[in-house]
Amino acid sequence: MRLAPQGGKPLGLRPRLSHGVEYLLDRRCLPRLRQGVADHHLPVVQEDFAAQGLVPLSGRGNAGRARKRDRQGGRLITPQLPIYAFTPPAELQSGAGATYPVVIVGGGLVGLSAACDFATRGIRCVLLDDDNTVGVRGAASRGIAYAQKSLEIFDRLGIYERIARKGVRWSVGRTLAGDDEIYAFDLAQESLSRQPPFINIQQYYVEWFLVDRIVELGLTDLRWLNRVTGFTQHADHCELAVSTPAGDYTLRARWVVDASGVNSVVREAAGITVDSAFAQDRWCICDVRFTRPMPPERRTWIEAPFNDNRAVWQHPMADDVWRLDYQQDADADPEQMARPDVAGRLVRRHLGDTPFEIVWVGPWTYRNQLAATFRQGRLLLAGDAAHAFSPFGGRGGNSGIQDAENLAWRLAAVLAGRAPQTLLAAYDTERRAAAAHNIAVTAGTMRFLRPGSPGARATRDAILALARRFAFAKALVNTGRMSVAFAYADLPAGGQSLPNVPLVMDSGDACHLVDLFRGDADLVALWFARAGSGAQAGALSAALAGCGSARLVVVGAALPGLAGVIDAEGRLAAATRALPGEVLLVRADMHLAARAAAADPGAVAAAARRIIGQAPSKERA
Amino acid sequence: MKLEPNIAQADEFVARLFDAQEGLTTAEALAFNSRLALLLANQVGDAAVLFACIDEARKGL
Repeated sequence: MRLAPQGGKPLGLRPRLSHGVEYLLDRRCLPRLRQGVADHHLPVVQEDFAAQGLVPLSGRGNAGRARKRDRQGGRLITPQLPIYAFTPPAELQSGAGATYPVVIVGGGLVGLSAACDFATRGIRCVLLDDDNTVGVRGAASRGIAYAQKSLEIFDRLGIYERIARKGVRWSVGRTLAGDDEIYAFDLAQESLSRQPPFINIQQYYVEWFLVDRIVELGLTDLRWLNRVTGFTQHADHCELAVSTPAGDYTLRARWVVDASGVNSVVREAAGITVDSAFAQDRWCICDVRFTRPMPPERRTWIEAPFNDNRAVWQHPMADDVWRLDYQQDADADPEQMARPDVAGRLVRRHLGDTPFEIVWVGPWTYRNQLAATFRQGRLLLAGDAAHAFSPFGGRGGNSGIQDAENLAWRLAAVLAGRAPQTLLAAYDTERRAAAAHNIAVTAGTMRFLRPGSPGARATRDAILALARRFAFAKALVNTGRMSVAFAYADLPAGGQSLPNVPLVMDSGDACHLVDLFRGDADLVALWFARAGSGAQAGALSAALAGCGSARLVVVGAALPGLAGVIDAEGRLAAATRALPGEVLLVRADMHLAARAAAADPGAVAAAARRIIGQAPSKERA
Repeated sequence: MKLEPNIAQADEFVARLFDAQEGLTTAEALAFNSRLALLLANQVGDAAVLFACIDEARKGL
């Protein structure tokens, strides 16, 4: 596996460890901003934007305050993010407390997704976060592009509608070199899902919606300002050392999900090693608000005349804010980049006469990092704690959300006694394979954007020259391969993620595939029944009994006593190529695991048992 | 001349090309690219296609 982009070396900036985030400058330099995703945002904050005629964001709101205004008492330019109350945990009063089924470390995108997923499955957990708000301090957004698979997961978790209302849908991407468009794609053309290929929205909104939903579901003990400082593992439980404003305590858990970010204390304490490589590439994000009408498209310039022929990224976000991201020289000084006059000049050259407000500036670089294992006994790593790579293609947050889903259904089934602990082994193999794939894919983009040798540079230039004229060379242009759900090739049916296609229920009501997966279903068996095949219903139901919480759903035929749907638009058939008389076994994460003939209930049962981690039965029905 | 996409595993092809060019000076990279052009030309074989490719590659230089 190619881990190292160009064998770079660590930046000479001092990392500061904190849950989920990594300051590369001292906190005093970061009065209101917290660092972004992994370490590929190195925020350097300047407070004197107003002096440059630019309007700064004055950071997140504080409890009880009105929305923040800039220092000149100017316009309202950032939402007030919620502040969550710290409640002294029971353990502080009573000493040792209960052993909780699941403790999640880290209340970022991934930890909150996992907590919400557990709650939808009826699992109580404790979530520890060292902060008391969502997102990063100030308007720094971290992840902005949420891919279809993530949006489908959010649909199941119950926050998709809010994201769709707030965010910006897009499907068209254009790549330019100089003034020429050399490559364009429209992801909507191949989409079968209810969800669009992408919605762009600031990460703090997604986290905010997740917290609201978790509170609504009422099963999660959200502990704000609880910082984990230590971790030990025993045969039947784990112990976490936790520090709070009211004192320190020990928390016991049967299972720990570590979603605390790239510099995880838990991972370090567990002795799980990471393979890291730092990139020699630097960029400067300028999140900018302006009102000039522009199409909601992803635009990438490989050689932008307005950025000294270096690359530029342009992404829409909510609230008329755009993420403008400017590639810099490999040895550029972050402090210099983030100076208000320097950042302002970058944006001015890009936007011309359009009035704009700089919302946030963050110089960044990135690393590739992969944990040696994503599971160690009762500890599961997810998101940045498990893997990190460059943001090209939007694969970081989106893969973390898939981590959360993958582990949540497995652990829920284990905790409910429906599955053996061995079901968790495949969390490591599946999600580490996905992470390795993402590292390889994003490294390819990185090398295209910053060729590391004269030969590579000449090859890149040749591709760009030919791409202006020929389709074959357009296909070689790589400004990011957009995040798609990873297919688990070890599964008998190929393991593709099924799109959230529209269906019609027996009752005549419209629904979508995801609706069949709500609650605590470990798997859904989609039976494409032939006419007159009702006699098989009893045998199939019996075959699935005891295979976790399997649901049998008949597609295209009404059979008494069984849930049924009609594939009115034929999209389910298009996505699966299912044949009449086939049973498709789809896991809780909507990945297609196995196919079997309805006429062979023994094969259906064996496939279902394999999905739930039970040894396949040798008996034939 | 084939001008529609025809390279299997296109991203992997570019990655291996970049790998092979890594650490080469400009002169060495030129030598590498020339050798590669000759090896690939022998795979193509067809004279008309090769002559068309030469003409196309020369354009704009």
